[in-house]
Amino acid sequence: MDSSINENIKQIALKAFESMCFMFEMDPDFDGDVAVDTEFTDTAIIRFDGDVNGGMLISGSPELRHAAAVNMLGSDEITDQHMQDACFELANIIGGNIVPLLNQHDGISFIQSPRKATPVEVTGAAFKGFNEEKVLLSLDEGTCEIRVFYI
Amino acid sequence: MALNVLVVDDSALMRNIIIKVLNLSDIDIAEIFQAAHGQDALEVLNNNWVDLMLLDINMPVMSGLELLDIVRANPETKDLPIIMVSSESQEKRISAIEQKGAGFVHKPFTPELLRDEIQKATGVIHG
Amino acid sequence: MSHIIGVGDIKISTTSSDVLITYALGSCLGITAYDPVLRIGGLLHAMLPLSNADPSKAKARPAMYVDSGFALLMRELFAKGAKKDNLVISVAGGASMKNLTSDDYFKIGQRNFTVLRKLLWKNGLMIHAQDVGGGISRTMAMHLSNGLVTINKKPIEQARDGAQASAGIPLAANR
Repeated sequence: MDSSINENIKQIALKAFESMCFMFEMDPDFDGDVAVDTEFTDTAIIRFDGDVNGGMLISGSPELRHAAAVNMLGSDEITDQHMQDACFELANIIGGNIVPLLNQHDGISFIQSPRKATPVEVTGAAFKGFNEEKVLLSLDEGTCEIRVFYI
Repeated sequence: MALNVLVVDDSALMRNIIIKVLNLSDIDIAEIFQAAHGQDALEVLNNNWVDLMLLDINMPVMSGLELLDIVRANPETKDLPIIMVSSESQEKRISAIEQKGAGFVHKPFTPELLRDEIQKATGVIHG
Repeated sequence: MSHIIGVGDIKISTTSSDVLITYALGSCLGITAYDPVLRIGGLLHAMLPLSNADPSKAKARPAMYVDSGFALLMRELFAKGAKKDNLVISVAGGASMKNLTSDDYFKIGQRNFTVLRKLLWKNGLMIHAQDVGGGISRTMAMHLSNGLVTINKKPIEQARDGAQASAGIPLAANR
């Protein structure tokens, strides 16, 4: 783990959640219990290749997935499709902002469209030998985990 | 004059967000067209007059950068105001876009930031 | 005449000679809404983001919280005939006042602003002008005669001394 990359990923993710989803980070010293779920049922992935290769996975708690869609659209009338689209879009936004941090030789990397992660991607088996960064976020409307594999 | 606007993004959710901002931007809108990728957008452009295009970059079938090149090479659309709306953060790719005369709104954005760019592109003056 | 709005308070006015003023906005949020057609408006000075922190207090003093206070501001303006599409909304405050008292949480200002932005988006409203964030104290005033909002006596669009908002939003120009 690279602590400066890890902190940058966290700040990028918090900015995305603040700007697009109107959520803020909980603070254990001020808010008390901010434990993050670790049992996620749904994971979106964005893959990138070129100067740096790898993928970013994002998994949200059910409350977070629901609130992200409601807040992004500004409407309470949302569908399962909206919840999935909200996670895909967050993967796209956070992933797009992270890639320049990871580029190795000042080159260009290409970012693919977000999609549901496959089981081998979720377990990390698809990324054997890659560097890994993991960030857990406790937000006011749910929790999420972001994992970035890169080489 | 009421404007025709084309919103191109592979995410239906993102198109909805952009359309909501358009409707809150104090610009007179005649019609809003939607497309899920560059090829879809070309269809719309071939069959309709469009005054402003908001364009994502990373999309399947045809990317926003490919579409931007095609639009700029066509005498009928070369001056079309275009705002790229993307999470692209690599300097080299952003400067390539700006050299082609398109505005750029970086995701994540706030509704107010996107509104300001839309107003700038359409010549609506705050005042 | 001038009306001073205290912390956790709200004032609506329909008198065009009125000026609504609130002092010492630190992490608190000052929110003005003005209908230029009817020349009516209101100013809210909210202290904390969410009323669910203390529902009984929020019931007694809804203007203390951004969410219940903003709902009250809208209700009162609509009751006086203001139209949503005409409303011009300005925001100030939301600073990180790290060096106040030890029990003052430095992220409250940012949270106040985030909660307001969520409410505005959900209700289809946009911020017209803002002077938010940084670490300074602000005095906000609104003139009912023309809707002019000032921060520390300068028109809000020129009040760029404070740092920009947490989300990096530029100041919106005046309409």
